[in-house]
Amino acid sequence: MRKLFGILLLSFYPTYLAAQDMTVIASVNETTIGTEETLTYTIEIRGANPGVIQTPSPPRPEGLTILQTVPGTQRNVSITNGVVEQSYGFNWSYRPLGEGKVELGQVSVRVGSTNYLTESIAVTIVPQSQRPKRTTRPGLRLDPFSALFNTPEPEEDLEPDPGDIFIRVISSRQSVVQNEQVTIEYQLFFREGIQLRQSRLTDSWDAEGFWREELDVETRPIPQIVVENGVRFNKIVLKRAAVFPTRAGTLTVDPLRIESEAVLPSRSRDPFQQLFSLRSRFRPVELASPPVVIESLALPGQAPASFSGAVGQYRMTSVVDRTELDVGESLQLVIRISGTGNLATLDAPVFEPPAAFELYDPQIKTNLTRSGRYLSGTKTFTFVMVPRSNGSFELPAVEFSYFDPEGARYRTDYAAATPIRVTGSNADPIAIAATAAGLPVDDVAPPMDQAGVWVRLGAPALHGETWPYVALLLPLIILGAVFLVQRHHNRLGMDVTYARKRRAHPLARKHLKEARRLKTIGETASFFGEVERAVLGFIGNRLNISERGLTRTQLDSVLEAASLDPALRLRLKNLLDACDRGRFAPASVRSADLSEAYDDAANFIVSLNSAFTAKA
Amino acid sequence: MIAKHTHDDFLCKRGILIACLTAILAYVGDSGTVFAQIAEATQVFDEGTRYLEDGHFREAVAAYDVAERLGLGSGALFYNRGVAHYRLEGIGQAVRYFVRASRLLPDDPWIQHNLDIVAGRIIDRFSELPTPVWKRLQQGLISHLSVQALIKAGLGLYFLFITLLIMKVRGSGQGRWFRRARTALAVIALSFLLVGFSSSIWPAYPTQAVILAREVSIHEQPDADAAVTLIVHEGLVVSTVTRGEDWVLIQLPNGARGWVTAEGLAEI
Repeated sequence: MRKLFGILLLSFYPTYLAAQDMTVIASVNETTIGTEETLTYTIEIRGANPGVIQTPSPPRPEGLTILQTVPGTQRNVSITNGVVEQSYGFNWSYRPLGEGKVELGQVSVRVGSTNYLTESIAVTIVPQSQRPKRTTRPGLRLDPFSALFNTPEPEEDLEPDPGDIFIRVISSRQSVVQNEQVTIEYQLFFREGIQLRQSRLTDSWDAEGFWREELDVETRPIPQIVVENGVRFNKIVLKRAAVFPTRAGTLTVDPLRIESEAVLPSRSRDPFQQLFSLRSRFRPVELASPPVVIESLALPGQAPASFSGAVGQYRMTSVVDRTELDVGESLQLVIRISGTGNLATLDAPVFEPPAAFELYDPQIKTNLTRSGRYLSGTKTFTFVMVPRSNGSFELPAVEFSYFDPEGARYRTDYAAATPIRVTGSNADPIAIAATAAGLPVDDVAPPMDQAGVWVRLGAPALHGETWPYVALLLPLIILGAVFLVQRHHNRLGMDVTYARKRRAHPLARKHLKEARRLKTIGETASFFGEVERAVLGFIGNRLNISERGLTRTQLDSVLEAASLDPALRLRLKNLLDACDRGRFAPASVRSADLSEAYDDAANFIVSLNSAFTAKA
Repeated sequence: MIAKHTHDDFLCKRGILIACLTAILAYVGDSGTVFAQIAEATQVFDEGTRYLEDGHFREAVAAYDVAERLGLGSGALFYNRGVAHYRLEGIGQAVRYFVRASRLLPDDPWIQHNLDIVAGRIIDRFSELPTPVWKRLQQGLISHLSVQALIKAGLGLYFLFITLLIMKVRGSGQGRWFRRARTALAVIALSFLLVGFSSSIWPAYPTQAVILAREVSIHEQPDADAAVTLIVHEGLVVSTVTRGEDWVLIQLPNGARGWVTAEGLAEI
């Protein structure tokens, strides 16, 4: 913005405005002059075709003496935007006669058959000492010709007065209600002959407490010549903004500040000096407009229910795109609010369709017109709704209320209710817009209709349960058992000693069991035979020897070699003797002897096993 | 010799059969009860989906809630429940269920689309700490096989391996292919069990929660008077570090930690 603004002001050289009606204006070069200065009074006639102009008579005020009765004249022709404008100027020079106030009276100017009357101009004559001095910079000789002919003319270094360049701010209203529009226009005035360049905003313009909207101004402004208090100025509009107070109270719009470089018209009569010293004579200037104070008044009470803060002049219209549709099709209700005011902050009117309609968020479009002195435009709210069931419905009336500051009252606009007929039964929603994958752009995808794979929820963590560890250990245990059994079987088949040792007990038990049966049926000889086989078989298996055919002496030697206790060997000898008696003389054996032999054999086998195990 | 081979083959087949049956039984477990629950959950799901399609969102949520109370869930169930919550303007709950659904159906485009849509309505934006590679691998594996399935499959293969070992001990299954099968089974079973048990102990996804309240203040200490370090809003997914009775220590996606009141968030 600053850059653009700087570019625009680069071309602020005085030119004439496009021709409109005939204008006749009178002006002076200064409204305050020193007693030793000269006053120039100018009458300018401008128009497309002024026609015959009679030379006007100059005013002859007291306190000023006219230096020449014949006026100097200028004639200019300019073409602006294809329009030709001519201007004629008559100027007279006056010299003050003393201090005081002087009024240059109205002058009648006859142009064609029309008489025009100029405004009178007041001029103040002050002592020359009160006039600002023009500073000079000795040593600077930019005029090559003056240097050449040794006639140096010091260059003027003119400082512009505050009255020569200033910013005027014009506020359309000083007191408004909250959210009412105020147009603020900033105008730059600079004296004719002053040239500006490289102008820019020095800081951001702020208006705290206001909603701001920029209004259009000329992007390449042409200065307009205006006469302010008899002095000719160029005027351009720097900025125009619509501001809306957002709260009640006294609010202030900050000054608009610009920086620029300005040069006053040279008083040198040397055209070369004017030409070549132009660059060096630009002086930086800082300008600021006065702040704008606006009184914001609270809105009056008893606002309608549909009022949501809109202030201005509005008009509401509404239209539906159709009145008959099928279930699932979309229906659009377009509400347009047009007028002057803060459209940007305008809320959508409340609209509640029947429950059978699914309503989507409205699409909002705002068109603002910024070309005038007030912000205006149209805000469009497009409500999209989809009926979910068939039937006859009525879209309710829409209300929009606003405060009209001109009439100082609330007004309400109504959009009439609209009957809608919905047919069909298809309830499938339609997608307003879809992605390449067919999914809605601004909405979630539709529901899934298949449950898919079910998983158990809230199941405890497996590492905290027992069964996985059991499941890990149990196969190992089984494997170990199988391994041991298999090894046992393998050893039984390959290791005879081991096999006989493992079989000793079972065989002994088998023989003793048979002996008990024989005892029961009274087979005494056979009983003792089985007892003897049980005992000898056990010994043979444990010691891995063939017990068959061994004499008692050999048997005793074997047991002695096996380090068997002599007492046990004696018990064995007695037992075997008892068995011999029973086998060969069964008639002499009593029933008690059978039981005694049986017990002795069983006890002996146990003792013998213990003895062998201990020695092993 | 031929008879010996025939006998070995028989033992081998019998062992494999037993192992497979064991594995299947391990999978189906209490299948009878589960079948009944699945049938009921499916029925409730269909009912909830009808409500959802008819625009009765609260009824849909209630129906889906019944299915969850049966102890069962599915990607579609969580997804539809998320849609219902979204329609009810419950952004936090919608995020919660869409994230749940994405864990079960990580590649589903509809779920990703809906996650994108709800993400657009979440106020808070945080940078996210990177996920380690091994964690991403674990998440990818878990998305295809649950922890339970991994462990059960690992156990089944382990049983098969032990069966082949038993056959070897008993003298059958001594061939080259048996040896290769035993090695392969041992490696696969061990891998499954390792990943399964490690994922059970250190889950692939951190314990996450979603902010349900419109605004939740994060305090420096579990004390309402402690300094507030940040205010987060509905729908933000955070990790829960420690959960107390009234206060939860959370970690934001950018790694920052703080305490919030327990009622302001729900676990995913």
